[in-house]
Amino acid sequence: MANSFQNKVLRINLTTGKVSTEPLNESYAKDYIGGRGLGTKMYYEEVGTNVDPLSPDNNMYLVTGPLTGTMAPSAGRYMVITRGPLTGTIACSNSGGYFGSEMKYAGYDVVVIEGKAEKPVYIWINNDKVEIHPADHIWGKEVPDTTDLLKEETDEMAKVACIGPAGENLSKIACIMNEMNRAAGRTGVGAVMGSKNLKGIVVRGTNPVHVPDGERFMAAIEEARKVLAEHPVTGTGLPTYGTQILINILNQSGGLPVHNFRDSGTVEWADKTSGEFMIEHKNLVRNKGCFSCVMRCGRVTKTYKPYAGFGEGPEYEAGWGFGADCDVDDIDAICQANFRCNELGLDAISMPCTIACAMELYENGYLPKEDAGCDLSFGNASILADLVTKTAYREGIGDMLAEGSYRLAEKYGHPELSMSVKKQELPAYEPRTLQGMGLNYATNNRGGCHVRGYMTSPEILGLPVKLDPAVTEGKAGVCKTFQDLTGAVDASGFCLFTTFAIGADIIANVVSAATGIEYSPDELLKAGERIWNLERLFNMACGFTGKDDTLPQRLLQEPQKFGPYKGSVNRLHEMLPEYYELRGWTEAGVPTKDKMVELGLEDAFAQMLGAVEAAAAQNN
Amino acid sequence: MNIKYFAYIRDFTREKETTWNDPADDLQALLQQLSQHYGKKFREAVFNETEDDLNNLIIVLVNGRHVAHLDGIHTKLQASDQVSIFPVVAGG
Repeated sequence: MANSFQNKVLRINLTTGKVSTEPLNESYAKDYIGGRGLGTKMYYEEVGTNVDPLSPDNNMYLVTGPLTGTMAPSAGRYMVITRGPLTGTIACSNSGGYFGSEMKYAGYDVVVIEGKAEKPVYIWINNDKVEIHPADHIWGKEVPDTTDLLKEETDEMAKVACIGPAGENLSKIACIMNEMNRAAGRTGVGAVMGSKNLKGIVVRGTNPVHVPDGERFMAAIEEARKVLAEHPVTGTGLPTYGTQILINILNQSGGLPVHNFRDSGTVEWADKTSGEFMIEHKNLVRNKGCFSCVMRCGRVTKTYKPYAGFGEGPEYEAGWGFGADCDVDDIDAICQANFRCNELGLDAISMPCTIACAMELYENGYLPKEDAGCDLSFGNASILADLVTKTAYREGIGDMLAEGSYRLAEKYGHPELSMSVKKQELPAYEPRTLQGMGLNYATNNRGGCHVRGYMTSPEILGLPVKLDPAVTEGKAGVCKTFQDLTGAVDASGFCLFTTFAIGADIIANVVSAATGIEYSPDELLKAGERIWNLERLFNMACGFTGKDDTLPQRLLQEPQKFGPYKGSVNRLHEMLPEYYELRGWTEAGVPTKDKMVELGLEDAFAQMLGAVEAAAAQNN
Repeated sequence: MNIKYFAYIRDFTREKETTWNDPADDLQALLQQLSQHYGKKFREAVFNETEDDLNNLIIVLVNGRHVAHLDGIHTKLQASDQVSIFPVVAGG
């Protein structure tokens, strides 16, 4: 029966040059839906848990969801799954734009990249014709030039995913950029691509995507589209203001981290960096959407002297990172630094957070001026873009910034000043204000991350329920549900932002109509739970334990200085035991056999135990 | 009392903030005062149809705390309070 999978995996080995295809494993697709789940399952089965992230043995999986490339609204996502060099955890980084849908039209659900090319190359996928081409002439170029050149050499209609100099130079905070400004941004996946000498992947596809029952599918997506279009967040707020709309509400709610989380709470000038101000200040040129999106939250922006430029963004996270976290109130400087992240292929969350960490190290006298090479004081807007460039090229202090904040702070003797979990930088929500977001950060399978369990939604925005951010009671259950639902959404091809308006019932209906596999809302959540637990098993097999489910000591011990939650710390200890219990894990955070059998993960569980025992034997 | 407005609420108030003299002593009465001042669109944005509760699509903070976690539309106010009014927004 036709379904929205292309039922084909493309496998490219860069060491041997071999290109092959194989059928999609149907049971994987059923149990893990697609995208993040399917990629994690394939990675786990094919690669295992003990490869160096930057070695040729570390495969990279580009995976679409069953909805990617269909007419489902806001469903153009693809995921990159690999082991991340920043964290050492499973790495899955999600991007929108048009690359995912084009990959689907070329005829593939999954593209697997194995091995390492001897010299720089790019891959040209033109439907069923797949070629590996030299890329020496492109190596070293920034993302816009790379994208233009690759399209000139192949097909102007093609879509390009590539790395910039940051990925080439193996920065652990490098990302993969597609259509120039959309990023598989987090966990350092760009460095994995760079380690393979792979500059870019160009794809052009003209195949259709089928659904089993057109009438049913159209009815399902029309229901979703209508809800998204009529909801004030997805229909009005995000199209008008973009994600930068969040600056003011987080600031007024006391949830804005400031000065590397040292002086968090509320700042008087936050409105000058907000989505509202970007319209007033005429930074916003127009909004822009990803494939099939009804929200169109992307921002095409321009900036003014002395930071004149043109590009896209920033998203809220980058706006906060280069803004409040670095104490910079100049929206033009913030935008320009964000443009440089996109042009050079750097994660626009980890980059500013690493700079903020460097600023605190510098102000405390731990990072000497001769190493800094500039005045690294908080508030120095003039250095931001230059620091981004230095990071991508590993020049001067940039060589250490390229390693991310944890390794930077460790080098200077103060790892406690890295605001990270599992070595990945925390995003823009203060866990001393948002207790539940703190739990999500601590337990996240890819380290400091907000989009795997977005507790800001109930704790600040009141969606879909209003939870008091200061309360810990009941947060464990909501956090688990959000994490599981996100697992399923990331697997489906839907953008996570759809969940501001639509819930598991509509999502399950659309996925069922596309795949012909019937998922009830509970079964959808169960698939998300399976994905979450497989990621957990992977991390534990890699040596992570419950002790890694924590937050920087600052957030657990130093009372917040400003804002309505002045005096508070994150009370993780009040939430974590209940969270483990709800997950069916032991008190130490280890998945139990019974729970893993329930989820069909008994083999992965046995592998995890074997890996843990082998590591213990080696240590003895 | 200092009152701040955000996003498209500013389209109805034509100002980002105001210092409101002689404010009412609870939120419902304050919003009625403000609706008198700013007009119908503001009123529709902040109230439900019967004006006995907040519109579901509005977020009101008093001193940074969502009034849903205080006493809702009946939250008591003092002249020194900071009130912030947002439409429902989201991002990430």
